[in-house]
Amino acid sequence: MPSGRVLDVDRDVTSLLELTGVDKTFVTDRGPVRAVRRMSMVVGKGEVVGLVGESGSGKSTIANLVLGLEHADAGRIRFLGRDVGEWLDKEEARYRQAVQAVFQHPFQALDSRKRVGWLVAEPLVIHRRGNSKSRAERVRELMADVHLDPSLVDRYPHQLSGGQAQRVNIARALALEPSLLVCDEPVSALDVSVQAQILNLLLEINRERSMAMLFISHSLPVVRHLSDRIVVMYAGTAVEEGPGGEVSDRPTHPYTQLLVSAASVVTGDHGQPRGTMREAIPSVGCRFVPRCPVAIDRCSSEEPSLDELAEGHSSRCWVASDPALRAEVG
Amino acid sequence: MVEDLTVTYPGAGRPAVKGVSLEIESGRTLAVVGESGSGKTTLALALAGLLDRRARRRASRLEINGENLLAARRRRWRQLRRTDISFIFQSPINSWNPTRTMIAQVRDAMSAAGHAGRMPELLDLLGRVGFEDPERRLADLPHQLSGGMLQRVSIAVAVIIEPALLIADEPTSALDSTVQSEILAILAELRSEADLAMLIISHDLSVVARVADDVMVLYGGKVVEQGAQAAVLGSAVHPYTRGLLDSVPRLDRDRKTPLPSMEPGHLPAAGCPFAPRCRLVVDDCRRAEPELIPVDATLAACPPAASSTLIAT
Amino acid sequence: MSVVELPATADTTSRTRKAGRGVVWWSAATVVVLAALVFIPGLLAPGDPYTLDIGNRFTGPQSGNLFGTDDAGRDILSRVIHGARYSIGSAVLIITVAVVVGTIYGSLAAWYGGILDRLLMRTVDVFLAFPYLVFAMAVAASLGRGLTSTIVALSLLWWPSYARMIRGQVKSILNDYHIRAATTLGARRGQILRWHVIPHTYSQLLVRLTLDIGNALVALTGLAFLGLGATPPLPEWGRMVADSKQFALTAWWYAVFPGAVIFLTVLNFVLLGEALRKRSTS
Repeated sequence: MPSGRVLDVDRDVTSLLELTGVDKTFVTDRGPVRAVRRMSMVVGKGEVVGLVGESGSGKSTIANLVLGLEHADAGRIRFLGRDVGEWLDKEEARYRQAVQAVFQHPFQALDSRKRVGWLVAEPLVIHRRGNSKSRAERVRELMADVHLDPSLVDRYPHQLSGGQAQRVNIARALALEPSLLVCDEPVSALDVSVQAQILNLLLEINRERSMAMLFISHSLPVVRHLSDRIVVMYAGTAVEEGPGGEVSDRPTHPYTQLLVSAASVVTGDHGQPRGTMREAIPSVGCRFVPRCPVAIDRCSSEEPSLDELAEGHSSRCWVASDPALRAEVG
Repeated sequence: MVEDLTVTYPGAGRPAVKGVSLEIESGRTLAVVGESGSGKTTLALALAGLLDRRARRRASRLEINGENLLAARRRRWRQLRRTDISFIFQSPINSWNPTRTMIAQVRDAMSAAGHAGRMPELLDLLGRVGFEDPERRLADLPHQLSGGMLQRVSIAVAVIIEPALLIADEPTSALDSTVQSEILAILAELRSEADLAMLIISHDLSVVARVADDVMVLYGGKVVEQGAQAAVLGSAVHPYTRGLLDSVPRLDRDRKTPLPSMEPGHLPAAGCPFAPRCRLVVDDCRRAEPELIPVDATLAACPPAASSTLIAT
Repeated sequence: MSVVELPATADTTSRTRKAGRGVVWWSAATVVVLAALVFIPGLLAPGDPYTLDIGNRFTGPQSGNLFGTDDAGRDILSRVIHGARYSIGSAVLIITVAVVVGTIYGSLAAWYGGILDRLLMRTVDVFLAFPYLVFAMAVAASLGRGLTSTIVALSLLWWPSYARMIRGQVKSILNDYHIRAATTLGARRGQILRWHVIPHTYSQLLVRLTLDIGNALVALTGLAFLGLGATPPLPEWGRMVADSKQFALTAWWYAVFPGAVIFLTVLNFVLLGEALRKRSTS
């Protein structure tokens, strides 16, 4: 256990982060948009949970809700059994130290007028850790932890490569030894060869510090590679959830199956995704019906619930949860 | 087609593109793959006559549709871009004027290309590529449509004016993976129907796998490997191409294990551009720039990889 | 096979940038000279600005008095040099007050938003709605004549425009991505404003402030002409021009030299401001 962690995770609480029935609606020019609908999920201690879905699925809204950048309309978001709202009202500093984030755009997340050394030290200064001498020492350690050359300490962000900038962001997030790291599309803005380096770094951090992660991405292979458990989101809610290998190797929900076939192309297995219109998401029944190859009548009138089909593997689909129907569809 | 193209920007030590030759027959798709700084965008701009005024371009041949364009003036390039060269950009929202309706902009593009009378055909085509109710939705402003929808319109317009060359610069990297595969499927289908040559630029090999007949891998402005799609993706020879293929998470890979990744490195002043990052590097690599030589089914600019492949087989 | 080389066409952008740099250097050098006039006039001036020499009234420019003498026989060059302290000093003081007050006020409005923002900004609108000369005259007159009351009047008049500019900038910077990152790190409001917002307003602020020092100088001169501002015998530039008007036909140098110095100083700040603006936007 690394020293300096502000919240030593209580042994009695099994889940670190727990969302139950969370709702969030945004008011836009074109009327209200329900970004998240009755979303429930759990992140355990030291566990990497991958949240996968397309843009507009609400996955980034989940990150913002957990980070307190947005507030839920309904439902509860609890960290160590306590509402995030309460944390932020009463002990914001402790919550911020325990929950950190890495965002999608490595350069935009860094203040362009500050040098690398300043940026990495910032969280330590904010939370009054150490004096200026011990902080300089800690900055060197952190830069070494994320494999950044110490000579970069006096650079400005625009003098870095995309991968280096993202390492600076990760070093900032690690500075406070958080218990949970929220990663919102941390590699999608990077070159392919740099993505692998950042993913390896995140794996290493998870392994060496047993740090829990909520890893959000639109790419199933990326999520699968890192996650102990995967939650698939569609139209604001979870449609499938299960162990990392299970969800991708034995997908049960037709949307997950679509993701798998879209991701299998490099290996030669050409899937035929259906080219339908994205905006046509119905407001009753299963939201996936217009794109679903196996929809039955019931799907258009009644929304299925998230049912456990096998140990720890659940799916929100009438067809998948009915063995007879599943056999019929093949 | 272009032969021995070199582009240098003022103040840059190395040319952005160096000695690149390529030829795309109509009906075929060439994918150019490379990371930022590889010169792939400069190559595309050179082929569309869109290079910055300050850039120096040298080539021994530059032809589109059999027309020699080495000495073509800006005005001729403008004409070509209206009628013979279509461009699909990375960011769908930035390719459209935000203050005008889609239909007005589409009409302008069509009449500039001399195909004003083919609007009904375009609407048909849009319907076929999953753009439902095109007549009503095109009355919207660009920001009212999703990225996938905008990209469908860009593609439909780019294809229907029957250009000789269609250049798609990262056409899907701003989109989600499921939308990405829809757009790629549409691109591949429309390209095979229209008899045009397509150049697709991407940093993502999985994109290439779906649409390209041939693949060219650029690194530091140089072609390091090229060949038929299946050959490059299936039995790549150059260590950089291999590295790219190996570093991508895949569904059939072990989870939670480190991905083989290439360490970052600078571009050297001389020799093979990839040498500082290369596993197979030998002294010769730092001295002379390797030429493309046939190895297996591809052409690769890497003598050490070539000799080890030959020994292995 | 022919090899065609396209020559690089005339590089216009870098040429204008080079010209801009020349202006910046020239103006900056002038600012250094002006600063010397402000801080060490005694070392630079040939004589005393207050010594009366009735026998030497209205002497034209000559070797002993390069700018001639005024109606009391005082050396105009010495008066202009000593006057820099009052004229430029006042202008800088006015703008400094405006910048400091405007920045704090505008940042508060932008940060808290809502009712406070509306309340603060309506107040600013009220200030900006007054015709400035009338407002300045009213304040200066009610505080009594003198340079101090004019400085107070112009400072009161100037800060609202800075408050409005800073509020707009802060509002847009607060939407930037790096502010979200700092928020999740746990940075407090004051820290975010001080570290991540205010420094991003500097480049535009510098441009505006440079232009405004010139504008404040013009305003001071205008008020002096209307009988407000420095009282005799203070050698403030605007005061000197105002005093010279009754002798304009007999002693041209009395009006021309202080007037030319004001003109050149204002022009210098305007050019410097424009050059800085071009650099910050390119």
